[in-house]
Amino acid sequence: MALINYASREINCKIVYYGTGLGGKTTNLEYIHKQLAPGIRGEMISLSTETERTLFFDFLPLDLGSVQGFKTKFSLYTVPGQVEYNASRKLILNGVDGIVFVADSQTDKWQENLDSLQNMVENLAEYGLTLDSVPYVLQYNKRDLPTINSFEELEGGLNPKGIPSFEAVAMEGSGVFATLKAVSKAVLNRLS
Amino acid sequence: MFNRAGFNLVITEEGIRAINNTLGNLVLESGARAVLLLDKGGQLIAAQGETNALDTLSLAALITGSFSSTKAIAGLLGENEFKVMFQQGTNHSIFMAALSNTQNILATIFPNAITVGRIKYKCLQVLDTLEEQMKAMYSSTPESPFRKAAAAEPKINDLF
Repeated sequence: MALINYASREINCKIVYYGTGLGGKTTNLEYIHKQLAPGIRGEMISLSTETERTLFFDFLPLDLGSVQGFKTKFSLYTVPGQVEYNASRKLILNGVDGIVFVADSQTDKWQENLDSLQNMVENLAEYGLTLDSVPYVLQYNKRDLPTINSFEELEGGLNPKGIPSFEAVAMEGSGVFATLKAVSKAVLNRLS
Repeated sequence: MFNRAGFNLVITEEGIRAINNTLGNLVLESGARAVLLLDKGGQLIAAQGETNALDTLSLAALITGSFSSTKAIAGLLGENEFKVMFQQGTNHSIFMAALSNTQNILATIFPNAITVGRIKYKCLQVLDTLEEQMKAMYSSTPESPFRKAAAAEPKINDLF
């Protein structure tokens, strides 16, 4: 649910990074936070465990400049990927405007990716949303690791509808901004 | 119902003026440091009081998360959600109250020199007014300032 404020001439949108545990969602936000100037992004907040696993969510506000006289602001959230934190994932999807599904490319994560995608579909349904009604993009992360599924295999399993998808190495930043740019455009296009 | 596909909350100048008046009066009458009106998705709708000294965007995300996370506890007790929540600090505290029929939360940050009872009383007094003011905005026709999809692209491309 984008918030369009005619008084302050701002548009606020919520983007959620979803996916399996340890898939790289937080790493995406950390890289964005590190690369962007403080004038463009706010402080990143991480609600994590002592072992730096996401406990509730990460939050990073971005100010992406003006479009047609309106300041466009995006709030980036991650969900906790661990299976047992589904209640938290569901809460964070409340009011979502766009989704990045971060898939772990490693072969032994294949089933977890499929399960997480299915879990996302089920949680969206709680809000009356579907993958056809919410702009979303896919990111295939950890492309630098040795035992990974091919791009074609991942596309076949996770992307039957042919939505925009990106290969990434979030630790190094590869593909991170391409993914953010794609989901931002998709969200703004939905508003038009 | 307010998170349906394609739905946007349009904040009009007239609508936000009314809400800011209500929130401003609440600050004056209660002695609160600041009051925030939030969407349960984590968006900040309006704020009054000493907002320049606060990171209101982060507060919005965290307060919403904190409030929403108690819903599961409420469910275990057979409740739909808890209507109010109170967090006490050494110097400042936060009182939160859910508006009944919209998806909004009123959060009041106040110094501990003021009793929570006074804050609760003042906050609950304005909930119905805020409810009506938000309903009026939720029922306004969703519209977008983006006339053409392509118009947004060059600006976004420049950002990365």
